[in-house]
Amino acid sequence: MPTVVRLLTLALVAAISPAPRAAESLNLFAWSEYVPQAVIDGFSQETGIKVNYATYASGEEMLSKLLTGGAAYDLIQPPDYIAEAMIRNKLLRPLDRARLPNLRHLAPEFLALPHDPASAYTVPYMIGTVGIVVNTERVKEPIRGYRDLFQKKYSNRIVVVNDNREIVSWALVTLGLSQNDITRASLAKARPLIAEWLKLVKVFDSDSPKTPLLNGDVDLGVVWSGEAAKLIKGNKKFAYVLPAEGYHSFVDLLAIPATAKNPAAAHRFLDYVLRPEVSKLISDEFPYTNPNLAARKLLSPEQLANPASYPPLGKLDTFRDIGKAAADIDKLMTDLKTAAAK
Amino acid sequence: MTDLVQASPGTARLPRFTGWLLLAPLAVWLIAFVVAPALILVVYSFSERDELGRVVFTFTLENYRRAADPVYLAVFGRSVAYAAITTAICAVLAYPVAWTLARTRAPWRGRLLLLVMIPFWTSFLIRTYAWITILKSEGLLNGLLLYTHTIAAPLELLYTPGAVVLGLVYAYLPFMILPIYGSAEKLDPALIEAAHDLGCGPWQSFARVVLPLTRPGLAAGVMMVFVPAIGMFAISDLMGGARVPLIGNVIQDQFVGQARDKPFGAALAVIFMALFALLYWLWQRRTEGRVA
Amino acid sequence: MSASVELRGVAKRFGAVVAVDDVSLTVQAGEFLTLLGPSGCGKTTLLRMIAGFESPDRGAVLIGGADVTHLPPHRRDVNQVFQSYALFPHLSVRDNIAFGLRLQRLSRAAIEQRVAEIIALVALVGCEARKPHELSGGQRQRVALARALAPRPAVLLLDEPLSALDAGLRQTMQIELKRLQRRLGTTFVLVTHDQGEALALSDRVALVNRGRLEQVGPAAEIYARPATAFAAEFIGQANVIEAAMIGRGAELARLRVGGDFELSVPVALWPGEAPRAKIAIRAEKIRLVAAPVAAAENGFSARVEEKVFQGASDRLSLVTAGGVRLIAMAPNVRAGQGSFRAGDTVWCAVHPEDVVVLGET
Repeated sequence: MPTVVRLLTLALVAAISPAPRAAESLNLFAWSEYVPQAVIDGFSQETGIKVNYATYASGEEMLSKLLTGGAAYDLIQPPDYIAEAMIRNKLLRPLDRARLPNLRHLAPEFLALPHDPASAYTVPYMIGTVGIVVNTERVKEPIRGYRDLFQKKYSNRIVVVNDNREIVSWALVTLGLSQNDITRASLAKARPLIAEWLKLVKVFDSDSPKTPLLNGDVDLGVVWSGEAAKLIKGNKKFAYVLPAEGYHSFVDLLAIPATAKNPAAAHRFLDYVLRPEVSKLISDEFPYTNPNLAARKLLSPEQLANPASYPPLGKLDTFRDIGKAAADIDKLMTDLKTAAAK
Repeated sequence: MTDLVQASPGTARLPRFTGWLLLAPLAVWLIAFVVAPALILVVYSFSERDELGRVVFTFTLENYRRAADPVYLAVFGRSVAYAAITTAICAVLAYPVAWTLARTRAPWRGRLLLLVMIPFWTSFLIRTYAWITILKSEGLLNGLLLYTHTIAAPLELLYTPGAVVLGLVYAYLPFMILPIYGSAEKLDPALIEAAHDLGCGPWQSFARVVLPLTRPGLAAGVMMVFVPAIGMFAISDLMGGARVPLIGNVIQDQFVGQARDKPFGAALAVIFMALFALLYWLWQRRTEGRVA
Repeated sequence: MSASVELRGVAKRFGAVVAVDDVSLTVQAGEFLTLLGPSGCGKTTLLRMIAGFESPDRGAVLIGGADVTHLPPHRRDVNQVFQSYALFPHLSVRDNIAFGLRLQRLSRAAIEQRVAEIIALVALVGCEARKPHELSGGQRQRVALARALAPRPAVLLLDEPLSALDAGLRQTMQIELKRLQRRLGTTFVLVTHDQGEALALSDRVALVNRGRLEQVGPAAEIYARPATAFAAEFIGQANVIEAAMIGRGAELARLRVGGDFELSVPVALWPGEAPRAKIAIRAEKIRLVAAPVAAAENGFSARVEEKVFQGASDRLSLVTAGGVRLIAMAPNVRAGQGSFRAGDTVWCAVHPEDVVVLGET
């Protein structure tokens, strides 16, 4: 999600809110560059329903815009921990499973997760991990986890996602704490470790962390698995490692807001996306872990062998909603980044 | 005589009414896009937020208290420093350019001015990406230097504070050139001749005559560069690798980022606006003081 | 007297335009010299060469005997009063005047004393703290003068200094300028296109035309003995006509003027054996009478074609029987007297000594 798109959407989303039309339409509010145009076109062609695709650059942005109520969205794409908060605040509409026959294709390990224990509100879209990318031509020593990565000798050769909570979670798991243990005490423990790490980082980039790796500006990275998969697909010198200390998995979901005007169309779109041949299109473009087992059967052996797309996943360790503790993370990270830059 | 007296208020009222009518679009624009958003920010800044990040209207000074935390003061200070360095470099670079433009004759002057403005025809972000292409480790500049054997190993250019300043200077240079050009163009060349005639060398005539008389343009340029530069976040993200949080990044994070704390972001923004209002007021006072 | 400014064969082109073409001129110390000429004649370029704002393509500029051709303006001991005054708008009257003094690194006390002195000299006491935009046109003129004079330059250059003033003020300032120059003894070089100004102020006038010096000399001399038709016509009002020698006496020569009437002139003025020459008759030298004047007394008749009232005199356009056109002045000596009307026939008489022979054609 490059910043270009982010800034454009920042300006435009509020202004161009989908207007009601005579023809049936579906207001989709999703990550920028996460739903292939082919899927949207195919759906419109088949159903005659026009899709208005508005985008955002972060789950928080999505939530903020949804709550502001400027526009009614029929289908949204929240990250797991945002969905959890939304379910708790009754902002999502329960799904009508009878209208979603294709749910049967989904692998059970991606259902009934802590954010939606009964899978009553959400459908997993893609699953990802945050792991380490190594340019094996430049880094010869094995990198198994965060402790191997964040070493003085790799100073100024590392890119990490510009995501404060992510970075904090790495430190927490390295210290043997839970990544969701966001308390003042645990943050205080993590603080010195993060302070050391930040000094070694050259680039913080959530939008396209693969770019500095590709450009040769850095040799190591902690990035989204989808980004890593794209790197590996193009160049075998890159390797993907799930950190030994523990790693964060995320589930990007599809859900229907309680305020949806056209839940029927939203259900149709959901089921359409769950079709194996449609789901395959998404995997082709966004090589995250596809929870759709029938779709996986359609993928090439090469796609399935990509270690970033299909790492050996254990029990999914996802982020939970932390509410106002986000402010503590913000302050900690702002402070440490400022100090590290000196 | 009485006729005149009675007629005058009527004739006076008409232009006044038309005057207001003509001002109406401006007033509406100002209220809708300047006053109202500013007021909303002020109200937000004294509010709280709930766990979803929604604004809860109460009255609290907590956000301002938090803004005064050394962490955020340091960010403020750093942002001001970056903006100040950018402004200073812009001023030094823009002055000779603006001066040359103002002293160039008609057909060429227009062409050169166009060159100053051409970058605006392309999106700012695309231009910034172009710089990344130039500065990256395997980029054009390093490629050229390696090819000519000027350097042995690629220089670290991108994702450095220098790259951020370069990006800022590049983005805002025209905003410095144009107002200085405006002042320089109005400067009567005879004044410079007079200075020379009375014994000024080139440097003295600049310091004693040219600089004082183009100061309004320079001051306008400083405002037009310093103010947006201090709040810019995209350049520090893209060219600085987001290593240094600037105040613009922090505010952005409160509104659309993970921090999910609009009231705090609003408080930072209000402090920001107040700072500029103060700067502007000081500047105005100086300018008026000089004229009087 | 020593030479204060000397131009030696200077020339200057701007592209294809020749602004100054081989001019040599010497200005004596303490002299008030005026460069007079129509606009575009090159007089301003000459002034700017002296100031140092233009460098000549050829030739040399000397000030006080030293070659300054390649010295920049700030290293020359000359100061200029600009046409637009060029007062520094950001400085007060006092600071404008002290500007040149400060650059001379004089002591603060010396500067203050000199500023006070010069302010008194140009009668600006009380205006010291004002900014230029708060002054009247005449006051600005004085500040410009004071600023240029304060550093005691060897030469003061004045570029059309009075042109922005209204007629009355211009007269007053002319008197003041002359008074100042006499009192200070500074060399003044003034540029103007106004012949009245040149005549009133100058010790000598250098008449400039098309980048060349037409004639240099005291104003009265140029007036009385213009060397060229241009000089005759530019200074005062002159009728320039072609004449042919028709009879040569011991003292007087008889001329046929414009193929029409006859005039006698002192034979000494005639250029040798030349059969024809141009002569100039000043408008005010033509005496107009209603009664006939004999041809022997340099008289001829003409018809009044047009009359323009000019206050002190009427300006008459005359046509002789042979079609020669002349301008003459009829002074308004007494109300109702000497007032010819269009269509009247008048008699003109010219004293032989008043006829100027310009040279062979």
